[in-house]
Amino acid sequence: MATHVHGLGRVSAAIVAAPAAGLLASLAAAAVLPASPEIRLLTWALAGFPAAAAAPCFALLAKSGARAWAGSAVTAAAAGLALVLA
Amino acid sequence: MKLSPRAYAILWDGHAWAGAASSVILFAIFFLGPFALFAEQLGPWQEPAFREAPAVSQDAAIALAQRIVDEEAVNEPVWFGVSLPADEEPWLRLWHFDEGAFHYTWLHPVTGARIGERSDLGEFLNAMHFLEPLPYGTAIAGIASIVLLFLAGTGLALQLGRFLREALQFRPGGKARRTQWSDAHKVVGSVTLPFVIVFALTGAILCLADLLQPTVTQALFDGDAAAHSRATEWPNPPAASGKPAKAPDLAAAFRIATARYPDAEHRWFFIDNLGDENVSMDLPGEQDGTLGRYTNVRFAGDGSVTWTRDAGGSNPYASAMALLFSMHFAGWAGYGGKMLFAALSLLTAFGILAGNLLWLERRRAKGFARFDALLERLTAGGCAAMPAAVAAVFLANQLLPLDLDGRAELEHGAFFAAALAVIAWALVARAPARAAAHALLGSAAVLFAVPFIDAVRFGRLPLDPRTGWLYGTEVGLVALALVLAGAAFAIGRIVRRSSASIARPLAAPPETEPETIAPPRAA
Repeated sequence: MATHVHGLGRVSAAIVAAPAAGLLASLAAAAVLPASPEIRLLTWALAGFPAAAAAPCFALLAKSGARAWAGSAVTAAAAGLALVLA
Repeated sequence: MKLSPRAYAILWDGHAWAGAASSVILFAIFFLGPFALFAEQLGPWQEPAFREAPAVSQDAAIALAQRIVDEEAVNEPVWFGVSLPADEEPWLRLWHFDEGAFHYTWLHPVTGARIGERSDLGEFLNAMHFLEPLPYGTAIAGIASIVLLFLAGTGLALQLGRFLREALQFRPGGKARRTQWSDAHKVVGSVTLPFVIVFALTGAILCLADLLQPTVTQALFDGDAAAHSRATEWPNPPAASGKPAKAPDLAAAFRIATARYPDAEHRWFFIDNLGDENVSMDLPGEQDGTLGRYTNVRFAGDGSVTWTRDAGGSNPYASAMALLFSMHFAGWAGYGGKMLFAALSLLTAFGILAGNLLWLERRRAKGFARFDALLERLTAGGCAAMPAAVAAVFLANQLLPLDLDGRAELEHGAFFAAALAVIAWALVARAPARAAAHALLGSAAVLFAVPFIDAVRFGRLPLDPRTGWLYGTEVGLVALALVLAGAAFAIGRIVRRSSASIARPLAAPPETEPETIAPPRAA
């Protein structure tokens, strides 16, 4: 198998930042969804944890640790903004 | 569709590391799954008083419950619960909520005799399935569920374009052991994948919903907790008024709930603000054989219905959650389905173990790092710890005197002491796999002996099909003992073969691994 050197930046982003960003992004997506409260809650319940599980994959696949952290931070910031404005 | 070699290598490593890091916790959760599924049915096993079902009519039991509730109303408890007798719990159960925890007392429906919490074997093993008795256990179980989703997702991604082949490929005759563990891990992972995804998702929701509730309420309901509780179809009861009032009429409420949901079993009365004017009483119902099985009727103090919940829920969120939780708890399937779920749970535990063994075999070929040596010991100790802990709690349930103070806590202590002892043994043993095999064999011997100890204590025939739930428990324990003994012998055989190959350093080099860890070629 091709070996791959994992940087500490990508791994730390995958463990710490990406799951939180995934949870926050799914919460923001549910909050801005033009639907009933029950549908929004259902969207969050079904998407939130899969998003937290999928986000580390994107962090690990990023080209560098800086990109992994930046991607997580931008996602979290955009989600936070959406939650404030929603 | 296939992953690029880079993506394959990264996700393979991510899958392996996350699996190794979470394996012992996930193994414990899945090993205890069967006990959680049959927790209620362990009632007559853990409490010998339940083995002789007293003959009492439902009306008489409700009348007795009413007397108890009337007496309790004077104390104005924030919460109080009563359950009527059932096959597996033929006494009434009285629940109190004190100092943040539920406590219960059993009440004989004819004599009125009371006994306390002498054993909570089934409920404890159910709670341990969610790691509830451990500090931060529920949160850890929730995070482990998210890691399991990650493992399922990355495992599926790694099998893109080869899922069917790998789901069916098992080469037990292969000379390289890592080929066998690799095949076993992939076959078990593929077969149990839908089950694992449902359990991981519902496990995360069950374990983390309370923790995240304030955030979700703020984000999706503008901080309105009442709106949130309406969406989940579990509206909050009214606050106590401070004005005393008599207890609600249980018999009338029971008639209304049974008439409204005739297919549901009603035997619980859960009362908020008992003795207060704003008393609120829930009669939850359970309908077996349906996907959305939970009903509820809520009453005010004057007997009026203030809220009902149909089986399957009446809004999209409640319907989806009813479906998912029914799948988690196998409520839709009856005992045959529960046994299938129990087997799948143990199979998944084996798949997790096979993943660790695959990791160790791959690393062994390259030379063990310190983490690998630790993982080997934790895998051996952690996975053998759960059978030993279960055997210890069942043995303690047999040997501790029935009226001993703090008996239930001592049973819990036996569980944790056995688990810690086996982990410590594997950490210091010269050959951790051999220690695990011995622990498994000891656990198997105890689990096999427990039905016979019980039979001797109570002067009855063991494995007698006429004893209902007892017979079911005995068959389960003996079957588990045989599985563990088989695992112990298999591990012993592997250890002996390893010793033989170490003793013959000039033997042929290990077979190169032709299986499937090589990444696909770039398209």
